Amino acid sequence: MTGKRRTESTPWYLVVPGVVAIAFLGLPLLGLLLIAPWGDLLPELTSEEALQALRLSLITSLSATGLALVVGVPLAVLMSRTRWFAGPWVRALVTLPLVLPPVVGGVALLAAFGRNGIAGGPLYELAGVQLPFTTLAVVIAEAFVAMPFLVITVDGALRSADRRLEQAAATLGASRWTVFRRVTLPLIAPSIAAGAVLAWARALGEFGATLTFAGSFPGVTRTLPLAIYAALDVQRSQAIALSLVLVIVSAVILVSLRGQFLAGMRR
Amino acid sequence: MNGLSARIDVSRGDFRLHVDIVAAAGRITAVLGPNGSGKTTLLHTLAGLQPVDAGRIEISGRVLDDPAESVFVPAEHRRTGLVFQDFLLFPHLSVQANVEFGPRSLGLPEPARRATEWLDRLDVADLAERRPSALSGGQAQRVALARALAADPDMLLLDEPMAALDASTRVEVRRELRRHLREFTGPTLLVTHDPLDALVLADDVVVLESGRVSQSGTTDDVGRRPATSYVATLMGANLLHAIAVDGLATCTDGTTVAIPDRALRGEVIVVIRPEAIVLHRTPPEGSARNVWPVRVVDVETHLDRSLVQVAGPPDLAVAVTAASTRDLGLAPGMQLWASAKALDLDAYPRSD
Repeated sequence: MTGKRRTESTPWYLVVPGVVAIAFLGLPLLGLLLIAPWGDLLPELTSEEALQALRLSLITSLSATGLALVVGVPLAVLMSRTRWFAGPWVRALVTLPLVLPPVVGGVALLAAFGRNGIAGGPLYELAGVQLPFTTLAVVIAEAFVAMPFLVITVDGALRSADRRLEQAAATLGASRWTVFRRVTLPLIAPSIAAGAVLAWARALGEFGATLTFAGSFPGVTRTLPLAIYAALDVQRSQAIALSLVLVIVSAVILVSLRGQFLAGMRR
Repeated sequence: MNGLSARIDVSRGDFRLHVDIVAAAGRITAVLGPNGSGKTTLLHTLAGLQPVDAGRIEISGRVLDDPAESVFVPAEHRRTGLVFQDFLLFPHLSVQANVEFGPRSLGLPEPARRATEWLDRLDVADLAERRPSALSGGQAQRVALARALAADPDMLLLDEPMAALDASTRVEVRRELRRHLREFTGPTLLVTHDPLDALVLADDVVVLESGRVSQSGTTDDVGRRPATSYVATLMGANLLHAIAVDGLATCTDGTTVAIPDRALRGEVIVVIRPEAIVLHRTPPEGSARNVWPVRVVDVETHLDRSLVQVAGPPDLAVAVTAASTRDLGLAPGMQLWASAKALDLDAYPRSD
C-alpha cells in the first residue's frame, strides 16, 4: 500500500501461501457467480417465496437495527462516560454475542423468552404473549447478535471524541442534555451510522439464532438466509439467486463503510 | 470586590495547586508559569469544570465555589467565557452557529443577531458561513473569542492564546487580541508560559511555580523587580518605550531603534529578547541596523549561559553563551558595542 519498497523487502516465499489465501477466499465467490442462473434471475427473485423472504428480511433486519439503536446508543454513552457501565462485566456481556455460536444464542434466547423462560414465562402467564416462533422472535434474535457491532463502534467513537468540546459547550451555558444533543451526538453521528450499517448487515445475515429461537416458517420467520437454506435441496437455482442478493448487499455495505471509515479518520 | 477573588486549594495525585488570586474587573491579568505549574488546573477550577478541595471562588460578590458553604456552581451556570488553547470550535457547526451556541443555550434574546454583532466586532463577520476547519489560526482565535463573549460572561479566561498559532502570525494576532480584550469590562485572566503575552497583553501578572504563586503585581513591577530566578529569566526581555515614525522608534532615553514594522506610528513598546542581541569588542560592520555603544555592568553565569547587564543608553539584558563570555573576557566596566537586527525585534502599539 505505502509503495513498492515494502513489498520488495518481503520474503518471496510468502507469495505462495498468500496466493492460496486469495484463491481460498475468491473461489467460492467465483463459483457462485459461475453457477448463477443469470437467465432466470428475475423470475427466481420475483417468485412468491423469494419475495416473501426478501420482505421479511428487510422488515426484521431494519426493526432489529432500530431496536439496537434505541437501546444500544444510550448503553454506549453510559459505557464511555460512567464508571459502572465501563466495568469489565458489562463489556464482556456486550462482546459475548460476537463470539458466541449463534445457535447457542438461540438456545439462550429460548431459555429467556420461551414459554418456560425466566422472562417468557411471566410474559405468557400474565399477558398471554408467546414470543418464540413469531416474527418478533426473529427481530429479537437478530438484535441479540447485531447490537454488539453498534455498541462497540459507538463506544469507541465516544472514547476517542474530544471531551473538551463538551467542556467548551458547558462553559457556554449548555445543560447536559443540550451538550449531548448539540455536541456529543452530532460528533459521533458518522460512527452511529457506521455501527448501524454493520449491525444491519449482521441482522440481515443472521441464521443460527433465528432458526433456533424463531424456526423457519414461510412468511413468518423464514428470512433470506433461512429461505436459501430451505431452497438449497429442492430449488437450487432460487437458493443461488437469493445468495447473489446477499452478496451484492454485502459488497455495497463494504463500499459504503469504507467511505465512512475514511471520513472518520480525516476528522 | 469588583472582579474575581479566588482562594484555590486542589490536589490531583501528587500535584497540589494552592493559590490566592485576584483579578480586577476591566484589567487583564496574566498567569505566567512553566508547564506543569498548575495553569490548566487553575482555569478548570475557575470555569467550574473541577471543584476546589478547599477555598472559595467569588466573582463580584457571587460565590461560585466554596466547599465550606457547600456551594458549587457548575460550568453551565458560571458565566465564565473560556477560550481554549486550540480554540475548540465545534467542528460540525458553522462559525455563525458556533457563536450562537452560547446565547441559545442560555436563552438570551435574539441569539442570531447577538452572534452577528460579535462576529462584526471581532472583524470576522465575513467568515460566518464557514466551517471551523476552513479558518486560519488567527481567525479561529477571534471566532473563539466571539463565541465566548457572545455568551455574555462575567469573566473571561484565556488558555495559552498564542500557543496554537504560527510564529509568523503571532505578533499581528497578539496586537489584535490586545485591542479586543480591552473592550471587555469584566476581569480577564490569561494563562500563558510566554512572557511576551504577559508583557504585551496584561496589566497585572501572577507568576505560578509548581502550584504556588511566587510573585504577583503589575506587569512593570514584576518585570523590574523579579522575585525568583524563574521570573527573572522569564521576564528578562528588554522593553523600550518609544515613539515610532516610519520604522524608527525614538526611546525616552534618546536612543533610536530601527523596528521591522514601518506602518507603526505613535507610542510603542519595543521588545528585544536578550538572545537577539550580539556583543562586539569593536564597532560591528554588518547588516544590523541597531548598534549602540554600551558598558558592561554585571555578568551572571548559569551553567552554559550568561546574562549580561549593559548600560547604554539603552540599558539592556543580553544573553550570551558561557563560551563567548570567556572569549570576550566579559567583566564589569568593559566598553562594548551591542547590536540587534531590526527583524529580531518586536514592536507593539502602546495605545490602549
